[in-house]
Amino acid sequence: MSEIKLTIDGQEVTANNGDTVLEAAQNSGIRIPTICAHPALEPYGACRLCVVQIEGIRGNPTSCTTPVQNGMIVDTKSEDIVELRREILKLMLSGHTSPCFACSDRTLCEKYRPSPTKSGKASRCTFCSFRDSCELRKLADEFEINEFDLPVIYQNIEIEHNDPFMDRDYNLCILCGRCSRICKKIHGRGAIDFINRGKNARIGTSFHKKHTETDCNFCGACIDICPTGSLSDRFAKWQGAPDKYDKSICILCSLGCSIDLKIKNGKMIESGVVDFTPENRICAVGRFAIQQLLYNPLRLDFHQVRVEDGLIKDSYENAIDKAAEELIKYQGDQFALIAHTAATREEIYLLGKFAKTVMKSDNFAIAKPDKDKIIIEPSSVLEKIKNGTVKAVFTTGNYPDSTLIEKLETLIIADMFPSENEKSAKVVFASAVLVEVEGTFLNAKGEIESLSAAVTPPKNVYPDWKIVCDIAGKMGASEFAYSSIVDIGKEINQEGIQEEIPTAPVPSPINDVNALPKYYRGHKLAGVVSALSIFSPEAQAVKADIIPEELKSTVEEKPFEIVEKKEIVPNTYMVSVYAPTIAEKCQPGQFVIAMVNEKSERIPYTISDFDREKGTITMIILEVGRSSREMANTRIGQHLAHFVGPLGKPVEIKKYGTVLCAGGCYGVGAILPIARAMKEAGNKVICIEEASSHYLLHWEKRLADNCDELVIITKDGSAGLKGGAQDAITMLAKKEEKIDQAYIIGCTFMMMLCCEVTKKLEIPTQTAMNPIMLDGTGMCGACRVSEGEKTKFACVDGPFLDGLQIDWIELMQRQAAFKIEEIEGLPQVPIEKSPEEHFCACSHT
Amino acid sequence: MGKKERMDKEERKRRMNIPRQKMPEQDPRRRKYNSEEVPYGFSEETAMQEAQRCIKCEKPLCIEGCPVNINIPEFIDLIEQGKFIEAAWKLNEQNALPAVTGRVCPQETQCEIKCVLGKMKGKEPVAIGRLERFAADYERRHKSIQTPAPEKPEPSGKKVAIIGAGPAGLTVAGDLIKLGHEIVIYEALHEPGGVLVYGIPEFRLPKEIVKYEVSNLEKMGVKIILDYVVGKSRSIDELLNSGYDAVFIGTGAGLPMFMNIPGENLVGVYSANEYLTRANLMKAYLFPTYATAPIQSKKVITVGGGNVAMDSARTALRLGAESVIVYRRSRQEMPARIEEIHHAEEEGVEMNILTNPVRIFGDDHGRVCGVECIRMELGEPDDSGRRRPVPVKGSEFTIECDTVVPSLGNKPNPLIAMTTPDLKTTRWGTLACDEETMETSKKGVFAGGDIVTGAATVISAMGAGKIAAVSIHEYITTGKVTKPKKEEKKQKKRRKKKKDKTE
Repeated sequence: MSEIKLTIDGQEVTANNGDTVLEAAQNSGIRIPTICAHPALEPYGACRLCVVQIEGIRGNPTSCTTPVQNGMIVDTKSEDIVELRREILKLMLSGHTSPCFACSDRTLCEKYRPSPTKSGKASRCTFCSFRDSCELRKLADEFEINEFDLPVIYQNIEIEHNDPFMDRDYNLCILCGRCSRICKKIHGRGAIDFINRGKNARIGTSFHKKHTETDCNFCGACIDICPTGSLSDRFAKWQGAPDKYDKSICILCSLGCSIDLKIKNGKMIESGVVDFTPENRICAVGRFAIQQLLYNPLRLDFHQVRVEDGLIKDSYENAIDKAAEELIKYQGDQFALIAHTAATREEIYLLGKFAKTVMKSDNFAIAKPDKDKIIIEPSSVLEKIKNGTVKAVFTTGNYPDSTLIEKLETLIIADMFPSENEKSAKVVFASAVLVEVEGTFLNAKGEIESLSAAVTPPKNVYPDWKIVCDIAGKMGASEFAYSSIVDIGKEINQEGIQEEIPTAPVPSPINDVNALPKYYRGHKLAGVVSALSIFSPEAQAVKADIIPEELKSTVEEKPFEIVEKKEIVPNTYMVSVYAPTIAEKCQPGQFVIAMVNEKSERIPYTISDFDREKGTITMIILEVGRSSREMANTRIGQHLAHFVGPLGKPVEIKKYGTVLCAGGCYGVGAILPIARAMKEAGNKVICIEEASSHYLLHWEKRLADNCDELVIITKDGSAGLKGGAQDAITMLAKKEEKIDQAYIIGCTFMMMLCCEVTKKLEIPTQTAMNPIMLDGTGMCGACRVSEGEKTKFACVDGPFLDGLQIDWIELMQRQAAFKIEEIEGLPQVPIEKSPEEHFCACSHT
Repeated sequence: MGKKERMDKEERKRRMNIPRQKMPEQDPRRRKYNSEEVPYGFSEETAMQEAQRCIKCEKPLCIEGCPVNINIPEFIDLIEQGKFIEAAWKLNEQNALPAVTGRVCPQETQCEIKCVLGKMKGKEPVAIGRLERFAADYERRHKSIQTPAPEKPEPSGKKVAIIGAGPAGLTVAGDLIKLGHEIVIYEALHEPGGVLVYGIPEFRLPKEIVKYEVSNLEKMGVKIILDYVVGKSRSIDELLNSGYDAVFIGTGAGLPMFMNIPGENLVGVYSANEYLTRANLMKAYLFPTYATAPIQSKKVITVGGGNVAMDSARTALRLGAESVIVYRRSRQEMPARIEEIHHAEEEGVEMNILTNPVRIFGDDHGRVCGVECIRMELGEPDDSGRRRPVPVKGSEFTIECDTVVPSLGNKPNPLIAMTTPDLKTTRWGTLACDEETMETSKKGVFAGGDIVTGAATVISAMGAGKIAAVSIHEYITTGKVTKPKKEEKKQKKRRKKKKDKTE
């Protein structure tokens, strides 16, 4: 290949013929910003961020599509170019729901919100799961973009969370085409591509099919290559950016695919392809199921031994003692060991060696998944159990079946999930599994691959090989003391053991979702990773159940019917519930507690409006977690399981003079009844509606109709004034508006900023507290808030407390008390929305 | 057997020589990780054997000891005869929740302390509580055995509202429905049972039992309206004006007390009410199937020595934490039942007696990381008759932990009193009540349970409910309430004892 010489930014560089200018620059350590370009993909020229100036070439060519030529003089950093890139970025950002860049409170906001708020839709960066990894955001910061000439547009594309593992929010898509291109590249046929034209262009499936109805194999490469938060793995979504990357092997079938691991705090959060090539793609189980197996709520993370009464949790050492004590009674033909194929070579070897040398038995069998069942080979071992020869079994999973188990005197289990067989077990070890294990794997191609124990197993939980070594040691066997896994490997080689090369699954799970691995250690994968059930043969039956239970109204005669519900702005829902006794009595400032179903949390919602005649209560709900999601996914006509109120103290309605009501987010609705009552009481009422951007404004008319003056303020300045509610208050004060009393409802951060201002202006300020609550009637004290020296219960002393005295930092810390559990508790099942509820801008009120 | 005539000496002696039967319990090594009930209950044989220990006193003192006056010798006699269902019916005559009280009553200070057998040297009292539990459980487990439907009483045309579906309210409901009155219970939470469902853990009182006993009341015609906060949705006056002839307030003591020491609002400090409510009512132990998050900790310090403290500390074990109790007095002063303290210790709860928390330390994220405690010694007796704990100067030390659960008791919930101006309260925030009739200062309004006594026991609330039911019946049928005559002395004595003992 001939060399080409050219000059980039005054630096002489050499490149290969056929390289692009971008490649030549990158190879010489000169960075040119890009979004659509990716090492795994052919040049595309879609984002145009990589524009450069080349002497003799008109305009600003994209470096990713321009081949190098001898003597080229390229400038990548001229002022014009940088300015052009900034403009290109701004255009891109305006279609990416990113008003946060233009917000003057952004730095502070992110300080107080160290991780983004989990939400149904990313209405802005603060509500985006990909906030801390977003390539676009990094570029925007690099280019110091903090204002927009064009307003940010929210495209109103319905979120797709109706397939097993992915959430897709194309409102964040910048049309770089990386996903559709990688899909085509590694599958040869794209499940997704650009659809529609012009400003409606977007990524999607043909005919808007669900991904399960397309050629999609759920390899997840599109997620791994997406530069924004458009595509995400539902399980990993809110766990934040990884702090470590590692490689491992998926051993759930004989293919032994290499996988990339994203790890945080020693926990695996996601796996992905090691390389975006057809050869290295992986199946849905390798991509999405491993992490859900490891961190499954059912996973065993303790050892158990049997006492008279049943199994008790016990230390690893005691479990080893007990297992050794049991097994020593059954040496010879009365013992059998059943290993499984999804194990390392070292494990299979040592289990076999244990059976042979320690237990002195030839009864060593391997459980192999075969299509929809488990086969145990050789079958003679099962025969011996059946005919009573074998009296003790060490098994590594949920086999053999219970009829055989009944025949045994002793059963020792090493497994990762509980099983029915436990009832007969003398000892149950919790096993470290899959990517937690170090060792090698013999794949169907006959290659030996290695696993590095990249992920930390639960405390005091060890792999099967260590368990048998320790039992063997306890039983007096000396030849099981290995100092490292490598020694075991050496021994396998020295012994010259003929290892059977496993057969490759046909069809390959990589090409066919119907051929995905179905078992691990005899447990149905779909039984523990529920989303997999969609691919199982009985999928048709299961599909109906995929709609979460909470969507189904259970009991007919129940009250609390949802009579009206719509998404008024992205991620914000208005829900009206028929609850006449509450509607009759409620007062401005009070709240209700709702449980969508019997398993829900008790969640407080501020009453945003009420109609005593119709007997309805209206709430504005922001989808920010499991419970508000349940609420956001309710349907008109459904009955809430529980709905109680009115709770809390109403605000004191009287004549103050001039009353200020400021609301942001869900608080916009909540200030309405207060404004209305204050006005009826003869006050001059000024309302402030704060939103991040114009597309999040709602109920403006309702508010305007119920106050004397409505000030609209947006963080990005796309509607009304630019700034936050606190800036609007400052502005009003400058206009010499004397404010006698203020009511502020919004996120904790917004209320805190407002109170800083009202404190200076000496305006008495009441803020609506929003801590964690349980009963809402003063019984539990979860909602403790420090108001000056005093501790108040927000549920009975509030919700309105003296904003000038609140310890806001403490409140935020208390709100985050269950941050990790809240993410763990997010359901992994797909959500089907009813077609009539598609969000549409025309639903503005 | 079981004849009314005087038992001959020989027979008495035989009975007295039968040892008190043991109730098998789940192995503490196993139970500390599960939420299954700890004692397994008597078998039919052991129950009949235990029943034979009753020497059938002519003047059975045990009945006097029972706050709800169960005819103890009669139900024991029925068990002895193998008439288990009939024994349960006998219990039901006086007690709407026998499977509950058979488990959570402090029998050792009530009926069993009165048992003549127990007063004899080297003898233990008849295990009345265990027998009660046995009969009630037997009846529940043999639902298939057709029990004659209780005769529906003639409707009286009177209507009574009960506020709070806890032990007091359920007892009042059970007694009044039998008299033909229409009963509506208003409950603020989403499940009936009050402290039986939110406070007492599953391993001590399986919720299925509460459900069954509540459903029995519903079968008898009691209507329960959930999610209804009287004082917010309706006031007492509105209830009285909307067709109710009387109102019973049984809203309990639900306002948790804190220690008022620095650091109490840190993340990781939970009232016992919150700690237990999450685990019990909200079923956080089934998270994530149930949405409410459990409190996952490494080490939990429970402050207090009452039954609630024991419940919290044992719940902590079941949530996978190391569990330590810190109590400022000595073990003798612990208000918890001996059995509960014993169970907690068996399961591995560490007891730090004569120790009091001084402050709670937090980390950079406002989360608990330790508690500074001080050693105490016992000084002069205080108002309660117990020796006052006095701090030992310079004995401060720190225990590392990530969760602190103050279990210091509860104050009455002020909601009703606040919204009912003519309802008199005491300086402790309890409702002022005539102790003999359970009438409040407001006509037609009665009260009972913790809202009157302050935090006490399930059975004392039920006892108060029984008295209130008698008064309410009289009030709605005759328009007046008369004080009981004979009972007078006994009632007073009993109430005093209840105050000393808190749950």
